Amino acid sequence: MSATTLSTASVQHAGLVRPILTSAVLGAFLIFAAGFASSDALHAATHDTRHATGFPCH
Amino acid sequence: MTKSLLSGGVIAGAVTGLAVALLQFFLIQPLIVEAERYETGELVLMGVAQDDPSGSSGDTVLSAHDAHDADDEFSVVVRSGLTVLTLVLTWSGFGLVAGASLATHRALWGPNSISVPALALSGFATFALSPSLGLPPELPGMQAAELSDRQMWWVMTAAATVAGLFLASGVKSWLGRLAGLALMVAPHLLGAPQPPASVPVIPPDLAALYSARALGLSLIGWLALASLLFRLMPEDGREQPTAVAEAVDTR
Repeated sequence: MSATTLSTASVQHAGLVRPILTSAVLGAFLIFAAGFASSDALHAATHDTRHATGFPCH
Repeated sequence: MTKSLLSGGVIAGAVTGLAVALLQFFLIQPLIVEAERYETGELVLMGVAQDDPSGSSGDTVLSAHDAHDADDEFSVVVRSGLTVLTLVLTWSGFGLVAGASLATHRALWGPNSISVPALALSGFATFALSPSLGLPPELPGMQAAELSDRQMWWVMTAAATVAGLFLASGVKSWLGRLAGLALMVAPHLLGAPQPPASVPVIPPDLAALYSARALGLSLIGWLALASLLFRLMPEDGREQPTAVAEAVDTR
């Protein structure tokens, strides 16, 4: 068990809120940028990815 | 812990994105390129009287795509490179969201409360299957409703599906399961925005093959992503920081 290991479940759960939120928000941002952002440059760059992934395009 | 969860999601997502990109070039890209030949009028669907592209029925879709027809200026290499890059970014996003969901599920309902297939099928249902029941994967040139309406319905459906799955799988009661099911079904009862009636531009068999392949590729991607996430985030929560840190150290 490493020094970074958290010892109790309660401490683990309390400490999980921030990383979980950070991960979810960053992930949602990436998905939005790749799948939904409307700028022409982004649309051109992501065109085939949007079609292949099933995001609405055009 | 923040860094560990983030790196686990990004690594799993990026590796999955590369694998999906490889398969995409064989399974999906040729169909997109063929559809674009119909879209631009280079090929014409046999037996169908074509509408004037400037007519009202398909105006929204076709004019929106005109801006993208600068696509011709992209070389195949640049276009492919951008597709790989954006698939890696997209799947990294899926990896981060799935990692957050996995950690949340374990924190709320126990370290063994969710399996690899359950996470994979949940991600697939949320980001592919459920939205595609109302808005099938689109080929270029397919008629479609207003983009912003479709995007709103897509996001609402994905959000309702993931919330419904959390309720149905975590709350071990009939009430929880019923509420989860109701959430998942609600966007479909509301109905996805539909395109105006118009003459098809793309051959139906091409569109059908494309839909099947796009959904199949997505399922493969989610199975890979969930498997990688479980390797980087083992079920015993106490090992999480160590295991993910090791994965990062080997880079």
